[in-house]
Amino acid sequence: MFLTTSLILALSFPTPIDSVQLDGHDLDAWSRAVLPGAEEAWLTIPWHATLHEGLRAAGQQQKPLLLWLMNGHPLGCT
Amino acid sequence: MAGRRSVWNDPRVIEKVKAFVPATDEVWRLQRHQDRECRFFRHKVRGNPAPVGGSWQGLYIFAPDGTLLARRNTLNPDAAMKLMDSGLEKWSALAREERKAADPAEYLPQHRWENSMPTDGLVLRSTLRDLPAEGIGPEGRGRWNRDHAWFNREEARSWMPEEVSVRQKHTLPQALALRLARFHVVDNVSGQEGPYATDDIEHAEIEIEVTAVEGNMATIQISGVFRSESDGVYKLGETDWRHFPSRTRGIDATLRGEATWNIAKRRFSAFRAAAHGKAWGGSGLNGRRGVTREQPAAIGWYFELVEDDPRDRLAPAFIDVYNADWVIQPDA
Repeated sequence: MFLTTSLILALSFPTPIDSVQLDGHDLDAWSRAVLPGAEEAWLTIPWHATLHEGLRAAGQQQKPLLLWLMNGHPLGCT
Repeated sequence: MAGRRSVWNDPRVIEKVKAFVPATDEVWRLQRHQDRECRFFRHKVRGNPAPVGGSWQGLYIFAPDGTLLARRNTLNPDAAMKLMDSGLEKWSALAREERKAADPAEYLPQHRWENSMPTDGLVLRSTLRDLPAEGIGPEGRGRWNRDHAWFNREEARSWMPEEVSVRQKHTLPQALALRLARFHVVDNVSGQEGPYATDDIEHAEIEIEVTAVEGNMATIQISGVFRSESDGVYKLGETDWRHFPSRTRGIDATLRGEATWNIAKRRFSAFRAAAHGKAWGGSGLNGRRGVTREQPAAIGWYFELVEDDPRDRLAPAFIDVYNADWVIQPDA
């Protein structure tokens, strides 16, 4: 899954075509302009999205849990 | 917000994270709510499960049983590296019996908004980004943020006209257009912003037209207009957002989109829409400076169907004020 995410990110890296002015009618141009690209490498980290899911995985994998907390979910609307 | 790039984009940090199970969560709930998961967190951080004020944003390293090994709030990648090294040093010093997992009965949540995620409705990932007036150039792109928009099965069906045939036109029910205007066409590009109240919405309208039907697949074109203006007076009653700074602000945006409706399965197989518009004002917490009605920020929103990714299970930021009867409340 995360390999797929990485591939998608790589393919969506901004290109010179993004320099066009957007008029809201070209959805492909919009997606290239708005969606995150390869510059957002942190999205390739396999984050668990909740404390309890992270804790459960830490127990299963016998690894320490690294928890990143913010006002507003860091992977959502922070 | 800034930590996304300053800390987590650092290649050293990304490599070091592999020694851990990485997780993220929203800290307001963990600090203040009475849910078992929140009480567990507070007990492990300070030895007391009582709610706590202020902001506990930052990085934490726990053993699997919840023992706190290290904690720091930083936007500096070097400091984050030191924190992780410190946590790993303490972890390696733990005896085998000190590395055991916590009993899930201690920490499993009694309520999370994610439990209300529609499994047979319409779940959209929303990405919004500042669009520099001079266009998107090689110097980089504007700041961005992400949210999700949820519609249950009946609400998803209500995006379609009663009769699904070519040239049929339909207006999205006002309650759903208002949901988009109040909670999703919002300027939270640079950080958290509060929801709009119904009284703040001057115009919220979405028109749909069926443009093709082939077998069970119907294609629709979507267009919409959103105009919102808040006088800065909080109007939502007793919610978590009551504590959020409320100031004058506004949005003026138009939306275009296309989607494919599977008539037999009564669900969307494709959906994407983009909105563009201008935003001004705001809470002051969202990193905006000098964005006024005269000099607004240009923003693009992009809505798309979610994929099979756990991170797309995150609840909408304003799910607690959706006021939809299918959303499970914490005290239900």
